[in-house]
Amino acid sequence: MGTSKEEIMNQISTILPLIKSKKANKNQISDFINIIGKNLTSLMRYFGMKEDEIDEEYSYFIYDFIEALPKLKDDLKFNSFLYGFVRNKCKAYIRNKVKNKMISIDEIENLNFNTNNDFDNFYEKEEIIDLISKALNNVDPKYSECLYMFYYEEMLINDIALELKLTESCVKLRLLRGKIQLEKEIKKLTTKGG
Amino acid sequence: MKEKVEKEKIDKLLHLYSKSIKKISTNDDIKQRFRNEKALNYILSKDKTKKSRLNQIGKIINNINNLFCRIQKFKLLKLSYIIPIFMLIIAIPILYFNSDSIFNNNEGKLNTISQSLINFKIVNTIFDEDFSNNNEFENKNPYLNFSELENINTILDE
Repeated sequence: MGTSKEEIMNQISTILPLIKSKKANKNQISDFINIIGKNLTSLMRYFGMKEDEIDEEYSYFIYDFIEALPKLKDDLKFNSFLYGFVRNKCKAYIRNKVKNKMISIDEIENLNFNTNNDFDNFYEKEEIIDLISKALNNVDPKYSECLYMFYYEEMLINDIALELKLTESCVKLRLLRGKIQLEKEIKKLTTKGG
Repeated sequence: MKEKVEKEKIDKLLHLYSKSIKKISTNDDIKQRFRNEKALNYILSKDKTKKSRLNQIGKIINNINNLFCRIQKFKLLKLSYIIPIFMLIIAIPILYFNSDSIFNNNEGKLNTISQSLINFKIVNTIFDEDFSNNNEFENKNPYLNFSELENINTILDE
């Protein structure tokens, strides 16, 4: 996946103040986009955007992100700022889309995770992927950020604690609460559809 | 026990979800490069009118949405109660103050309108005729047949 967070911070540290003050050259902007790009697209995917939608919206996302950068006060919190920004944007985008496709809770409960073919079954079911991404959008960002780091980027709890400047127990607690909230959100969405 | 089982289920769901997304995103360096170039061109270009207009419309829609959401939070003030009450508040004074103009003065208005329409028709029929040939004009209008009148006059004189 995309470059690790420490590398990003090292590469950006020189360019970031220039882009904040809007004094960057063409080359510096292109470098900035190349460094961020992969992480931004992976985040967009994580929050339920599909490939065609990403192709359409990508340039607008980056333009808006560069415009919103002056709001970032602490440069060390760049990654969580990016996470929050993409989350809010995707949430707004998905809210405007009309989705009448709903599935019942029985379909999720009937999935058996014991065999090896589960993954293929899961990959084929786009509806479930949409549902989880929708539910993840509604989870509190401080919990969902931990979930993203732990499950998607496969970081260790130690690293997450260092990244977010928290204790390990706090990270564990956030993961647990995030799961509970996600479960509630999934149940809400499924009961709405009947 | 039930809670434990469900948490494990969500754990597996999340693992599968992240795996499925990663599967889509393999071997997409070329796509990413293309996207980056597109974004750079967009940022360096000076024409962002389309985007700004879309933003403005989006902001307005969002504001309206937020307003409705805030209203819906109060359970007593649901839209189903608000709209008919609001309509009644507007409609009653309008009906009360303008009842004379609506119910009583209609006939007069209709008369004037019908008269004006009739006049307009007559004028049109008269001006459609050709005034260059007087004979044709006389022949077409039976009430204005001057030749017959002349005949009668001659008979009376005799």
